[in-house]
Amino acid sequence: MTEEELKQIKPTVTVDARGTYCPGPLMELIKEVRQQPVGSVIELISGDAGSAKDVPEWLNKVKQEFLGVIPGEGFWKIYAKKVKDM
Amino acid sequence: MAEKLAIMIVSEEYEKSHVASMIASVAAVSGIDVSIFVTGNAVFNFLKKNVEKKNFTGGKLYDLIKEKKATLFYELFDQAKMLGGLKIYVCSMVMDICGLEKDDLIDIVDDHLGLAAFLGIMEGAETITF
Repeated sequence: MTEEELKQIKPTVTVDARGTYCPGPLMELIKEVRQQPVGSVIELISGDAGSAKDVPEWLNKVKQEFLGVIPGEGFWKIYAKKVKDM
Repeated sequence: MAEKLAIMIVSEEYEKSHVASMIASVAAVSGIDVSIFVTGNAVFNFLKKNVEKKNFTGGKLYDLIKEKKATLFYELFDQAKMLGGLKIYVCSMVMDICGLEKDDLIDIVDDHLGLAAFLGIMEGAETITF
């Protein structure tokens, strides 16, 4: 998705993981992916530079959908969609 | 990558337990079966009395981890246990030599094992040693 398209997304839930260190943001995202129903869009806000690379890698590994990243000032907004149960 | 990961933690240096817990937790939540074998001086990092006082053998990184209140290794292991398949075993021989009981160990430890049992677990698994 383009950044413009990502900005239009209304996430099912937002997880603000700023202030946690790797792998904290990823673990916070995983908790939501487990809890939310299939079809949910999760917005993860991370202050950890690694997350923008780490999260897509994990989503790919567990076959969930990575929608994209919006870089901010000192943080990243990462979008994921739960496409199957886990 | 193998769908089984075995991690041996031997050293008591804090950073080794920390990196082990980071790798283990991400692997466990990615659907990989993770088994941790704690042996050697690393056992002291898994004792209730040391965890309560945060009495670990650290260095510059450990000082910063404490200062910035980052998640500590036993908390990462705990999270991983809630979210994925992760087992923590302590070496029976070390427990014997140190006169330790299961009760002396923090609750995230599942059991104590001998080497033959752990070798069985390691069979076909990717193995990392710290």
